[in-house]
Amino acid sequence: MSNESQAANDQVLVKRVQAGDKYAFDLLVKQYQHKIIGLIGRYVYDPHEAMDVAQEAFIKAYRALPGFRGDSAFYTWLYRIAINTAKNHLVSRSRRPPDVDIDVDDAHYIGTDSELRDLDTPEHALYRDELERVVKTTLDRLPEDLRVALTLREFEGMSYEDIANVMDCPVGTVRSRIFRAREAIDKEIAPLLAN
Amino acid sequence: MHKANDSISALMDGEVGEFELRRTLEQIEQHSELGQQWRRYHAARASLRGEPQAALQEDISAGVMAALEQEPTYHPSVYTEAAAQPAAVQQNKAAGWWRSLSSMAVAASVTAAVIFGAGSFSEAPTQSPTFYLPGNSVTNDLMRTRLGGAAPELGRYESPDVIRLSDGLTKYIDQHQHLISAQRMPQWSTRWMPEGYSIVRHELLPHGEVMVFANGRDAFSVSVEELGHQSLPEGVAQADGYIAVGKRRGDHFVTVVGDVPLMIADRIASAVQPER
Repeated sequence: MSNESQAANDQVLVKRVQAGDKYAFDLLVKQYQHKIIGLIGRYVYDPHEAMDVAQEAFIKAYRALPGFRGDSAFYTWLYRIAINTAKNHLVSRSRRPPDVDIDVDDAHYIGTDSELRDLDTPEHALYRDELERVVKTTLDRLPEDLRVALTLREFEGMSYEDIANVMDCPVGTVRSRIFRAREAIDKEIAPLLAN
Repeated sequence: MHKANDSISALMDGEVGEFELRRTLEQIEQHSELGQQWRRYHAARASLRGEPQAALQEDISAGVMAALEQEPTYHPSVYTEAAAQPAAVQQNKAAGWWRSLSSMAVAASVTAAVIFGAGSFSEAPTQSPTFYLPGNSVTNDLMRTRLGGAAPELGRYESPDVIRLSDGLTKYIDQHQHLISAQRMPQWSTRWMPEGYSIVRHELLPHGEVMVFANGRDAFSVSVEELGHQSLPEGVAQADGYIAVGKRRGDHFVTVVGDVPLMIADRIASAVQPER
C-alpha cells in the first residue's frame, strides 16, 4: 500500500475527529498503537513503561489535533509526537536519550537492524514472528482470485477500480474478494492477537 | 455484522463514501468486536509489509479513550467537504460511483438543511450538537457580558463570553429536550422504494424525521414534517439535476429529494406512511 494512499485514508479519520467524532480517534489508536509502542520501545526499554509512554503520546496527539492541517502525513506527525514524548520521558527520569536518533520519515520502515535497541523481548519477538508466518501462510493458501486482489491492494497500493481493470471484474467483486481474503487471514490470527 | 466487517475492510482502503463511513463508525462504536477486527486487520497489513510492531497482544486504546473522556470534543466547523469524500476518490478522480454517492449525499444533506432550517438540522449524529444564535430579529435580546479580569482562568476551549437569551428560547428548549430524549422511536417509513435501495440513515428531528435511502450509487432523502414546519408548498421543484416532490399527508408534509425521475419521487412520497 502506498504512503499516499495510507495518508489519505488517515486524513479521513482525522477530519472526523476534528469534526467532533471523538470515537474516530479510537480507530487511529487501534491502527497505530503497535507501531507506536514499537517505536517508543527503541527509547524506553521496559515494555510496560513503553506502553504508558505510548498512551501519553496518543493523548498529546489528540490534544494537538486541532492544529493538524495535513501538511504532513498523519503517521509522520504522530511518530514525531511519539519520539518527543519518549525523549521527554527519559529526561524526566534523569535518563539520557540515545545519541542515535530516528528520522520520522523513515520510522515506518525501521527494521530490527537499527542501531537503536528493539523492544523485542523474546515473547514479543515470538508473537511477531508467528503472526508474520501465519499471515503469509494463509495468504499463500488463498484461492488465486482472493490472493491476487489482496496482493494488488496491499503491495501495489492499487485502488479497487484499478484492480477491477486488471482482474477484469466489477469493482464490487474486488471489494468482496479483498474482504474475504482479509477475513480468512483474520480467522487465523485472531487467537494470536487476543488480549 | 457481516456487512459491517465488509465495510471495515473497505474503510481501511479508503473505499467508502460518506454514508457508509458514518454508519461504519457508528457500528464500530456499538460493537467492540468490530474495533478489535479493525486492529487485527491493521496488524495483518503491517505484518504483510514487514513493518515493525510490538506488544501485539496488548490494546491500549481503552486506556487512551478513558483518559480522553474529559477532553473536549472538537467543533465541527473545522470539518471540510474534502473529508466527506472517500480517500481513494480524492486520489483518483475517475472513481465513478463512489464519487457520485458522496456528492449526492452532500447535496441531499444541503437540501434537507434548506427544508428543515439550520437550527433543526444541527443534530447530525456524527457532529456535536450546534446551537445557533437567533438571527437579526432577536439581536436586541442578545446581550454578551464579558467576564472581568477577576474571572477565573478559562480552559483552552472555553469561550470567554456568557450569552443570555430572552427570546426564541422555546425553540432551543424544544431542541434540547429532543436531543436528550432517548425514548423516541421512528414514526414513519415507506412501503415502497425503487429496487436495490435500502435505508442508510434515519434522523429524528424535533418536528419531523428524515430518511435517506441509497443503492450504493445514488441516494434520495425523504423528509416528513408536521404540517406548518415545511419550507416548500405542495408541488414539484427542480434544481441542479435534483428533483423535489412535496406532498401533504394528513397533518404531515412529505418531501422527497434526489436525482430520481419525477414519477419515482412522486410514488415514493405517496408510499410514506406512519409506523404501526
